[in-house]
Amino acid sequence: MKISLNWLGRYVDLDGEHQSPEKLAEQLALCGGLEVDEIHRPGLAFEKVVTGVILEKLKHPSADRLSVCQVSTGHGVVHQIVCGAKNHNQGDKVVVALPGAILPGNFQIKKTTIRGVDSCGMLCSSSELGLNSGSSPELADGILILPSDAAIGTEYADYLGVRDVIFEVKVTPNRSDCLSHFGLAREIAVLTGRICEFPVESFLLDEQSCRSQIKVIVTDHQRCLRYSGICILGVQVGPSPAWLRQSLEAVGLKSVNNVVDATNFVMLELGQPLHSFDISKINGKVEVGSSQKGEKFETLDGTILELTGDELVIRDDNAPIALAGVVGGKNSGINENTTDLFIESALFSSASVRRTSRRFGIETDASYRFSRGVDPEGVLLALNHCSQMIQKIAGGRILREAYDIYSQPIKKPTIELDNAFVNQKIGFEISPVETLAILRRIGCEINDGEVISGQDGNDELPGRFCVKPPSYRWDLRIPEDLVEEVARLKGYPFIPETLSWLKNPPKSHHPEYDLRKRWVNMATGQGFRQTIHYSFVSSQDQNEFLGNLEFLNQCGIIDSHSAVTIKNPLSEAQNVMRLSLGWGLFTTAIHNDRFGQKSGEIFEVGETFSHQVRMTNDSDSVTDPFNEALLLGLCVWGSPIDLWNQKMPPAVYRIKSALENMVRQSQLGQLHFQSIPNDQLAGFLHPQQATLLSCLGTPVGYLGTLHPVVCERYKLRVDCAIAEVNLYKLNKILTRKMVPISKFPVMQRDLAFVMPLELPVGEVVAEIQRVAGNSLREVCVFDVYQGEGLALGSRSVGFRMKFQNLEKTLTDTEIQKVQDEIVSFLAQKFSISLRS
Amino acid sequence: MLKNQLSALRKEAEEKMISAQSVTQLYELKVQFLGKNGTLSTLMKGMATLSKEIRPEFGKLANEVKGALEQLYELQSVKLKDREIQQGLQANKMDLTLPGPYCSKGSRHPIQIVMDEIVEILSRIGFSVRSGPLIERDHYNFEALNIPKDHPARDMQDTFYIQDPLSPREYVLRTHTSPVQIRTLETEKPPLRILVPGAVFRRDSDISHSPHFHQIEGLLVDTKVSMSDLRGTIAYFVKAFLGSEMKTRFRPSFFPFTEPSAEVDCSCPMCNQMGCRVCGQTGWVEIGGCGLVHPQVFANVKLDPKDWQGLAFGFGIERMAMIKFGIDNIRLFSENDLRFLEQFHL
Repeated sequence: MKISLNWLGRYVDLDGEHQSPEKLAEQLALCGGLEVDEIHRPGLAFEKVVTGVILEKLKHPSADRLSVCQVSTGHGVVHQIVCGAKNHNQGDKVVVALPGAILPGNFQIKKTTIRGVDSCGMLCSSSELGLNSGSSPELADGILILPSDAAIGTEYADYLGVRDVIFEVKVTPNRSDCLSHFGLAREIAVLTGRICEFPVESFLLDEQSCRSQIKVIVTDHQRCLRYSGICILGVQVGPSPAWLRQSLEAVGLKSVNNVVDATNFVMLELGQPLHSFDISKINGKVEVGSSQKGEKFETLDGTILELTGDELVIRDDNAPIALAGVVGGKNSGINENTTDLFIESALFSSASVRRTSRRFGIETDASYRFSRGVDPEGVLLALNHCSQMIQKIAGGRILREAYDIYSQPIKKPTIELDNAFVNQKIGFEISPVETLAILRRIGCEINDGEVISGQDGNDELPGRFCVKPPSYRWDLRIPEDLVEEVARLKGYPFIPETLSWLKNPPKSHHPEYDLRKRWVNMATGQGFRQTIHYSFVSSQDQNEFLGNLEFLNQCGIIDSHSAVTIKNPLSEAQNVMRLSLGWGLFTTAIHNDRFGQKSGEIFEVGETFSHQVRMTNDSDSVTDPFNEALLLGLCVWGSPIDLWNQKMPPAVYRIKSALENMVRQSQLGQLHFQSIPNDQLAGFLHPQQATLLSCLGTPVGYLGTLHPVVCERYKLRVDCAIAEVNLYKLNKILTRKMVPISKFPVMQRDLAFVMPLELPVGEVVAEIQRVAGNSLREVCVFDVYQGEGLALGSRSVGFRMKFQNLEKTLTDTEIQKVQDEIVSFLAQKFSISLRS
Repeated sequence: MLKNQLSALRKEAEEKMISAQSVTQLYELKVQFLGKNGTLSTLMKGMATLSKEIRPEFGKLANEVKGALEQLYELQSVKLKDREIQQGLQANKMDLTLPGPYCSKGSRHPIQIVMDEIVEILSRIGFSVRSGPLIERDHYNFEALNIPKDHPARDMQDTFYIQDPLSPREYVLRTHTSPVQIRTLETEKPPLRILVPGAVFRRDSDISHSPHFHQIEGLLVDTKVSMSDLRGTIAYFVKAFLGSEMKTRFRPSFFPFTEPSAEVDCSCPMCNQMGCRVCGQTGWVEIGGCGLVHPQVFANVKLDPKDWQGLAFGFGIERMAMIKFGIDNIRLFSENDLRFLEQFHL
């Protein structure tokens, strides 16, 4: 909201604040809770406009109607200016716009030559300065002659005293009382201890009664809490006087005509929205009540709305003429031909106005104020003030017996406040006298019966008071609200810093936090960089990328096929919640590859979302119909430049090592890598380089190289692999228990088998582990050979086995026995034999 | 006679061992003289032919020789090994200006770093982490936090709504971490001190706003909690997080779920309050909001506001990271550009 300091000055003495508005702004923020986002100084509109004196006036050599003036603007500076006016003479004090000045209407003053004579500026008339229009036409025609005692060389803004300061104030939703100049002046008065007054001017009422002109009824008292209105007959609609135009323009409002400007001015002045109807366009009576479903309504600016039956409207006998508190109707608005006005000043229910405003997406200054709450006791003041103002600037007769339908006057709440409670809540000793003084300062009434002075007139007051906040402070309802008022006006800096609650013992973190943190740390330890992606993605991108969702289901990444949709996305690129981390990681790989990072190792630990599979239309109140899974996603692309002593394995193996390390670090057990039938594979994975991850029989994720077709589609021309693991599922399976350490020696045996290429080595390893049982501590693949000496289509795989027993030293015979068993079982199961 | 042979052997062995040029050569000498079938053993076998009188004397002498030679062997062996090592050094020269093998460097995301650090700092004074869903019921996100429908406070947080025609309830992407306050108070008994780090969503996107960002929120519930406790908690946190010389100040503000409410500013860490671009020449930067828990919030979770009081505070993680690391564009956090990420090594 824009606030003009000059305007504020009508109600509160702001002497000196114009020079350093920053100080006032800080006070508003620190004690008022009203942030001043920006400070403008529009007095700069008169930049390069100064006062001067005409030293010499000569006729223009080649134009009879023009004169050539030598004008001094002080400090020995003289300008030659060609002027077309007639009313000026040598020795007159004038207003000079120098080259570079920009006058109202974006009129730029430049150095020019007029009929062969140089002219460096302009002598200004009042209208050129945007000052008046009400004064006599002769005066408006000629240039402005200042009194002879005017100082020359003064900037005109200073001469006029119009140097204004505009605050852009952020008002929190609770402080609707500050949504006006008077309201803010009142708050400044509270903060600075100044006096704030609203100048009430009296005016004469006509003999005729409003009731004879128009009939007003309210049929919905729930939503229309108070409705007042007055008739003004015989007004002359026309342009507003300069001061009014300037006041409105200074705070960003366009001047329309004197009547509309007056209602807007009073709204910005008192915070009470007003609306003016043209009486001649009202058919029959005015009724405040509910709209009818399907009824059409055309707003002032020509938008046609279809009403739902839920809106509060003002209607005449035929149709709605205004959406209550939101916007007026085209059918009843005033124009230059209007002579008779009905001015409305009302109090509509906040919720109702807000609902209507949201429904049609129309937010007006009026709806903004109504939805935050206006002062129920300010309704009539605003109406009277506005009538008086209209009469002053547009003429007309104000009829007597204004309407004021206020069937259930809003009662001010009474808040019982215990000073001990104030002290306890603030954590700081404030005397009852001080508490009372602060509450009175903000306009609260204190029930006198409750405050009894102690004997001898000392400061001893009883600790409890009954407090009635002023009607404009909707936000003061409970004792805590008053605690805040006392605390902020006493000053937050006075509150000491304590930690009195440390006596209670702490509890442990939510397991999900520990889980997340552990995996972030482990993945970081494996040399992966953490990334964080938006939780929402484009549904089209996601579907195109993931392809067959059944695969993600099979490997435990998602529980259902349907993504969660956002009703009001910012754009189509972010319209569903992500089902997997894969797409985000892939886009980051592409982004980085494009920007020259030709290889990288990244991960994300984050949530994914899916709809729960639902039987029917159940309305189970306990559970929510969404699954949020916590996933670990890993992505590796490219190969760091091959160093002099090293060759990098393919991306997919680099992820595999990291995954296995992490699972081992968690003391979780072992990941199993199961091959997937081609027809079940997701489209984004390479059919020959993908595997399902499982742990103790439960699928927990997948690992694979990106499909070359997908990479090509996005021009990623390096090796890229992705893995995802469902951390909730994995965590459920795995235990973190210490395994005892054997103190007996380790015996190592190597066996090499010749086997067909198609036989996955992992299956052989699993079989070796099964057959060897407990005394096999570890088995690893130490050699894979294919080529000379072996049949085509076969390879030799060397396994290194470490045997160790918890209770004893194993003998050669015992180990030989296990070894023989392994050889015979493998021969049986896979038809493979030792390499000779 | 044997005696002479013995001393001759000693002399020969000593000379040869001293002049041995390598560990291998020395070892061969050891075998030659001291081995099972070595010269000394052979000589000692001849002892049987000696008379009973001189046998012990000879035996003693022979053992002396054996001992001396063994000692010499050890001495020479160490000397020769050392010499060989010294000679080998030159041959095994490595150019350590060549790079070591590739080793990828892991790093946490700056958001994670800040979040972890804040959790760590507040864990020290007994706050423990709680979590909740990101797709949240309208009830938990708004109603239970004293933000009814058609309340202007809803304008403060532009909300993403979730499409779910089957559900009787309205769901949103949570706009703040505060719904976890309610969820926790419904399931755990006070007194408690909890911390909620996590993602939040608002329908807003420009240079300083991201539609998906992160917050951390603290809630403390006890029998008596005051504004001074709130100030103490925040001051402790700011000092621990940004440095012990940091100052904090409170400004009155409005949040529907706290009363009184305040915005928290800390002294600008960039310019030491001299005035800079980050603080807009004010010397203060806004870091979050806080307040005492509104009694209506307690009533909403069926706790008697007469028995329980609380304090709550919340910070934007992105904002904290921007202040802490001097980052000026919020988009960097979601772009995941390695050139950005690799600057965070912690």
